[in-house]
Amino acid sequence: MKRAAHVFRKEIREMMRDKRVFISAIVGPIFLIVLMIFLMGYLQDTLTQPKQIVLHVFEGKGQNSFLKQLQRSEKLKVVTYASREDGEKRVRDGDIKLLLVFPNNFDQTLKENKTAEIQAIFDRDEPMAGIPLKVAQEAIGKINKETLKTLLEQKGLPAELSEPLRLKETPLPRKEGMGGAMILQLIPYLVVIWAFYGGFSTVTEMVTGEKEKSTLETLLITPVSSTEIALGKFLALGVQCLVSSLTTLVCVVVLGALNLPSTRSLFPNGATPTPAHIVSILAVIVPLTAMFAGILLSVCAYARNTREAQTYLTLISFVVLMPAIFSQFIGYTEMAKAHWVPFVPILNSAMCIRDALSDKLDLSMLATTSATSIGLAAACIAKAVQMFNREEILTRV
Amino acid sequence: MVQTMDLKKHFKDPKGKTVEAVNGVCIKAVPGQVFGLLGINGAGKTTLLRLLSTVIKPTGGSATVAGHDIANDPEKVRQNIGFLSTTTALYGRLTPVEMLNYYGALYGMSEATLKERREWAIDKFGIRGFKDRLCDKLSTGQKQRVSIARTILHDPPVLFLDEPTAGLDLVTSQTVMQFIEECRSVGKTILFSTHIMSEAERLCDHIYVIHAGRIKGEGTVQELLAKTGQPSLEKAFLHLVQSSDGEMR
Repeated sequence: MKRAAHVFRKEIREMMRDKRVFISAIVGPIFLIVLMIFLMGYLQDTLTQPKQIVLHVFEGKGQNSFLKQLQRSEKLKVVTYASREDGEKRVRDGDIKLLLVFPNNFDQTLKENKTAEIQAIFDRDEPMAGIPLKVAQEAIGKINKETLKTLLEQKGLPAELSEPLRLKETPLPRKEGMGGAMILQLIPYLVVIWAFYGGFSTVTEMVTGEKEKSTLETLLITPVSSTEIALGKFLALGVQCLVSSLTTLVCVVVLGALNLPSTRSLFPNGATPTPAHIVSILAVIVPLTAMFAGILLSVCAYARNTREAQTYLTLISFVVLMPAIFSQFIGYTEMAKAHWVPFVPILNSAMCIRDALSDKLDLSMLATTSATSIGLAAACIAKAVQMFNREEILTRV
Repeated sequence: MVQTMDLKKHFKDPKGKTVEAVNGVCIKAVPGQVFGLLGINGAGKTTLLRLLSTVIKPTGGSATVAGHDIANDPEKVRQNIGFLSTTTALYGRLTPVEMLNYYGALYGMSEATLKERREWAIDKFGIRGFKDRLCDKLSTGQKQRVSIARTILHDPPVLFLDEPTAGLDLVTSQTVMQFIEECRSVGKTILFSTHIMSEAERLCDHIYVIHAGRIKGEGTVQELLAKTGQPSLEKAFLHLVQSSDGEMR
């Protein structure tokens, strides 16, 4: 193992001098997470704290005191249209999200104790239409409630009859986990994919590059065994994958701790992971990066040249990406509780990281995930060692 | 000393056909002499040297290098050999000193021995002026000097030189040839593969002509000329190769 350590140190030294390693393992994750967090912070602020909702209306003929009331609200800006057709066209063209069409003689209809039907015209495929629709529903609901209350009072009945049922929202106090729901879906995905892509850029040079330059042959002619060479390279690659993956997490923690106005809404609980979070995350990430390092090394040991290796790695990256992407959505489905989930590599790791960050990690899930990843990592390392011990590593060029 | 007995290496090509890269080779190389492996491209020279270096396993036959069997004691064999070719690159992000330290550590040299041998090699091959420059920044000649230093660093008794001057300019080639002559003078066993006749004539004490994986002729330059009745080594070589092709047809 002493000679494997020499190989490891040499690989690390070369990595430290390679700008591509710095860019792919450090700059890449930092750039991506900073960009994503600022974008998500902006999105969250836009969605949850709208400053002024714009309501587009066609008011019809006759008096409309309800519309006047809406126009007086500071939270709303009412834009009126001369014709319904003009407003509908703007909705269809995507210029506006929703058009409220009031009937003619609106006030008169109400005075006659009839229902005045207001049409809400919107494109069902427009996701942002829900915001003005909800505002309109709330305003109309408020008017309905006040009208009913007045009527009940006039009839000498208790005002509570206007609201026989009431839903009181009582959210539980937040746990110690870091980050809000939106950021918690994203972090595990990025941590997992960087554990793979962190080593992507250098593994080809580390193995197929050495084949092409014949330095691998010189290395194999030394008394160092192929197993020691494979292990030395594996350890160096594993370190790079781990650094890349943890860079994402560290960056999130730093951004959360900075408490910037533009990202504050993403970290309602602050961003200080507890020791338990850190241990749990490491228990998941370390075997995962070992597995990825083993895969990367095996593939490059098999490939004839750098180009062939890159082709295989690109295909494998899709296999890595799929469960990582799915991990972002599985929480919204019942599938998240399925018994097989902790046994699906990558998906289980991403879910564990998310649960650890939100302080909801189940120990059995963590143990199963770690054990699965350790088993697969051992298999991948064994495969990499086997590939290095085949003489085809030199002759298959 | 290097000795092979009926050494064979057969590969399967992509179509599943057996390729006899080395087929029943018997050679013997003794200390203090340069033994040439003379053959065209694809004759089996590199495969033979790879077999002797233990990086590939023989299909049949046996061989010993510095008294160690290549099949049963590969690590001991590798401990006792130095390997040099022009295709061997250096690690571009290491300096010559770091390269030598790395290989010294891999050969299990003690710190004191490594330091002594490294400084000797740096002076011997004129590396001092660029010893701390990254190998990527070195000229071809400088790189080859570092490669030679790396080959000889652990003072191996046996040297395998696989076309070590191919593609080099005249001055760098001379450096390599001087290195070979010096190694001979200090009693090393040298197997030197080439297809350059002038180099073989200058350096080799004994030549093996290898073609299609088989030894087609052997002897000193004079013996080969006498056996083939040709006036030059080049013609003697062609005579052996062409008569071999004729036999195969």
